[in-house]
Amino acid sequence: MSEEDQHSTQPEIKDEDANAPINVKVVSSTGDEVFFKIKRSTKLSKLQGAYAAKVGKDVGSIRFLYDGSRISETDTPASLDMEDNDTIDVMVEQVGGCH
Amino acid sequence: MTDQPWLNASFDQRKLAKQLFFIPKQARNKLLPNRSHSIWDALTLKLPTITSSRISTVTALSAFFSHEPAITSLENQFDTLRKLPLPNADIIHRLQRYSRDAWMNGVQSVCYAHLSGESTPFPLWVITWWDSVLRHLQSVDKPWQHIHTWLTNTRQNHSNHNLRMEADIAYHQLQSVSFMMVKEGFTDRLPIHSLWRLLGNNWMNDTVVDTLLEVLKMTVETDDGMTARYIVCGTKVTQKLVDIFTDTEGVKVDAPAAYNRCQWLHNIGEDIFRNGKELVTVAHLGKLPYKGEKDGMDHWVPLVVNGKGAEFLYGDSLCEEKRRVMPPRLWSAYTQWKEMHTWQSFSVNQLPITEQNDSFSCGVFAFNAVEVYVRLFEVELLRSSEAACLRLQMVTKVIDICKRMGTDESASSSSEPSEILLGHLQTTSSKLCPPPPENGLLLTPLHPL
Repeated sequence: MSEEDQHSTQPEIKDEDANAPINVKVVSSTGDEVFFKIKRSTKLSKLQGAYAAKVGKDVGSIRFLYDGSRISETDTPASLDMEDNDTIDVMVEQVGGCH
Repeated sequence: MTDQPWLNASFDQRKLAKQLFFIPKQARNKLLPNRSHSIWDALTLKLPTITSSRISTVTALSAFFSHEPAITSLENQFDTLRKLPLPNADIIHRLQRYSRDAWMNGVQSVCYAHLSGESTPFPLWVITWWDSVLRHLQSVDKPWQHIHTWLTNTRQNHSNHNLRMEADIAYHQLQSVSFMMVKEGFTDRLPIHSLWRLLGNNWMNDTVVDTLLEVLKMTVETDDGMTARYIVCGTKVTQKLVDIFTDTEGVKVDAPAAYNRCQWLHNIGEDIFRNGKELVTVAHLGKLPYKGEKDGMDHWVPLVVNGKGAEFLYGDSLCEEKRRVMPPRLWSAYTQWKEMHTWQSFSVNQLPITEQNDSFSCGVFAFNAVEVYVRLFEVELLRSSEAACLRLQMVTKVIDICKRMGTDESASSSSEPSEILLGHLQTTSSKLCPPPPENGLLLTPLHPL
């Protein structure tokens, strides 16, 4: 999670549910797990960036899937109806053309 | 003073730093491509070069920062900033990470320490601008310069009228939209410039292959009969199945438990193996070697799972004898998936596909093979020489969909969505688009599918 997200005490909280943090598990194809706590209104692109930095990869070379669908830049836990303890799958970019 | 004071920064300090490192609007407009630029416009913008890491010798990050206040009359400096070479990529990345700590330690400006004789103290947001320029050069400018050359040559190809025409249409389509336009209607919602792998002789990545499959999915969804029969899935289905059911040693012991946690895959499995639907997808053989081979290859292949007909249909554009059989690990993953839902045995049969005689068109032919399977009477298998034509048609089609979907989202249209979609999906791989009107917008006539 980015540093900004760690400041969960926003002075003006208009929608308590939208800002309530949830725990999200990010699982790689090798089964490695990384846990994040993220507000439901925070863009998941922040989580993606934080995960990429943690595993030392370029965020463009990783795909994040929730419920089988790719997570886009603008998605948030709220927009995807994510719940506490949900899992995000991580997959690596595949490129092909042949020899 | 600590090594990483930024970790202890207060909320107010973080807020202030955000402002100081944020590129002002005026500078952004002058120094970076913006939303009004098409991809071709963006390529003409004068941007600084990157200093080669072999030339650049400065490695002390602190040398790039100064305690002197930054110059204030910046407008006169825009030309200078455009001309001065940037530090190399590695230093820019490190500076980005180090900059907040430096600011917490009292620095007020940035200087071009990698250039001898250049000591002007620039505002701190110049660090952010360096990073933006670097990302633009790497992810937009470099790949699209190659595409521009390829498209220009193709538009001048006098030996292939159809290809020339498709190149013209694609060129104008790309000219007609912002290079940052979001791919509305597609799940990745990436900017349009991310499509560079769809053009030229580039190898396709999963994003591009998934985009093509999503176009096919949209076509399927315009027809009730096709919707009831086909499930078009992106490349991640195979990737996930292989991860769940197999490893390099063979079958995973805990596969059933892992599978049961994956409800979306379970639902697709029910539709295929219980309800007789047909899965249409494209798979990557990176981790899936053929029998007798040790390693997989970076190669796209088409795959259909016909639940009603109890068969796997597999093709490979390389068309060698040994590639007529599914790679064992791929077969194992799909067979174990099937066995989670049914014990009926499935045969493996050939899916017709164009033979590839170059080193970059497997993605095109794999997509064409599944499109032909779904739209047998509308789309034909390509000839080996027609891969470029399909690439051009698909980029035109994708932009068409994005334009339409973007318009639909911003203004509530009274048109029937299915009619709109039909109009934009009618052009098939093997049928040519009409030339574009003067404004570069492409409108295809409506025909029933």
